Amino acid sequence: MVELFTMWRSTRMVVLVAVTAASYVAVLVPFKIAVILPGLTEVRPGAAIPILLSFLFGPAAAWGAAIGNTIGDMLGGMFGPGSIVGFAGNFLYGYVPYVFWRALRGRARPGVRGARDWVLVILISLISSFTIAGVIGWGADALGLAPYAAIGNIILVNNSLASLLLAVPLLAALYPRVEKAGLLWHEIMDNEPPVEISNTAVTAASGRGVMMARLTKLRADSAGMRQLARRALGVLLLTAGAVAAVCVGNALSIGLMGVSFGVAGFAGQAGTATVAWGLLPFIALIFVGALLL
Amino acid sequence: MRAFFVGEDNPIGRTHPSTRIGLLVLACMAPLLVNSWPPMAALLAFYLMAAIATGAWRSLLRVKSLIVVFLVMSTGLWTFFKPLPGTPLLTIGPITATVESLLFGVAMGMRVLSFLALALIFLGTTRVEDIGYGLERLGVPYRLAFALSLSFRLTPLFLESAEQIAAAQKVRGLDLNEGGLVEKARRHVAIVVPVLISALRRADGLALALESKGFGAGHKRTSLVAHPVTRRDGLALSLLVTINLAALAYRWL
Repeated sequence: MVELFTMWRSTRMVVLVAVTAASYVAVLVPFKIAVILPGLTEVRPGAAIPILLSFLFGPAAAWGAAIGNTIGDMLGGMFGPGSIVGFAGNFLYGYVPYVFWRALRGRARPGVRGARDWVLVILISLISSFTIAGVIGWGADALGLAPYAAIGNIILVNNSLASLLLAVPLLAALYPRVEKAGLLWHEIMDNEPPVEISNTAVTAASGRGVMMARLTKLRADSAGMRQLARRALGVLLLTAGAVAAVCVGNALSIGLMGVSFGVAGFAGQAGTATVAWGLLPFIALIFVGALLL
Repeated sequence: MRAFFVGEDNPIGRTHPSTRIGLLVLACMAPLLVNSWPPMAALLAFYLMAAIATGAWRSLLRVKSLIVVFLVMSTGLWTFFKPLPGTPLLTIGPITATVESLLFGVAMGMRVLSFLALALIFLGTTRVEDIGYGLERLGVPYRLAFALSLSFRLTPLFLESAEQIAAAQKVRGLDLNEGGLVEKARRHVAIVVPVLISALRRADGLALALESKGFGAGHKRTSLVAHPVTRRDGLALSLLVTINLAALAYRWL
């Protein structure tokens, strides 16, 4: 995750943060009138933008999604304490796709393995939607803005639908063009160390002698292995945390009220300590997973 | 953004940009400290007076349809789905709305309107470059503050570009209202792709222009504009702190 901070050294990445944020706002704002929960959420076809741009611009999309959501809140009358959890949730929403893809497929172009790649893109989009639903749902409930079962589920459905319907066709159409323009995040940030073990191999042609080269290769391979293992653990922890946060959040929220599921979300008492404390371990799991990635 | 900017020649616009950000944060906190309608109405009235004093009321008028949607939906939702014991008002199936639920719904509607008014006052009295300046003075790294103000600047350009591309595609026969959900989504791709491509072209040119003007070249940055901190800033912040303390006192007493 070090690239989240080192990216600020690159002027192009700074501009791509603004491009992501402005694109996100440009699609969010026209739909602010389609309110689902006043002051909290609305119909969001723009939810596909952070997923799409995360595959293209990497860390710039994570920052851009967070900034774009805050600006969208300001322009749409939804600015308030909810914007803080919105910032964190949208940051992770734009962070998960590229770190998962990097951990699982390295720098491969999405779609290069055909349908298998697109299924993976869809799965990653879903995990990203679970992550934002868990984090914002937990935060909004803890702040007493809306019950978890309402806000969490609305975000989950809203973001999953938008990313499933729009992210894949948009990614298929845009990736080759962005690649040609040399604006893929790993092309811009070429100082990032490679991920694949095969890429870490050092050839004997370095002129340091065969023994030295083998030692260096061993060391590099071991570092590559450690990095891979760390990222695999990050994928597992973040996925488990996000799915568990959504499931347990719903169980706690509905169980608290003792009413039918249909009205549970709205009838619940937001801000009860049970949901806030009950979900804390899973939210912590999400953040630990994100740190490892 | 520029469409909402009304000028700085007003009591809030004359404060330091960092103070305005602080005022916004403090003003957003107060409505969260109270849940009942009388203090919420008082806060909303105060914020509307500030909107009149700054001229931001014109922006509020422009989003009147949004205000109606927020107020009606918020009041309706909380009235029917927040079970509060009290005098029954209306029963629909298993849900009984009470007078207390209605008043709570009205209070929640006013809370959302307060946030809307505050955002428009802030955007109405603060230039985009001052948002970046204010954040930087508060310790936010320059590049992050710059990205935020650049986002504000690019948004209307992207909106305009999206409108032009949508119009051009419609001329070519694209009907966005035809078909089911998946078909509609597929048709939107024809607009989103050109919008993003034009955004990327702009991004590449913008990065080159920034670097040619020395963006990130030096360690010590200087600013052409300077906003002095005056007694007015202290007074404005004190007023908002007092309002928050009064809201806290109302909640606990």
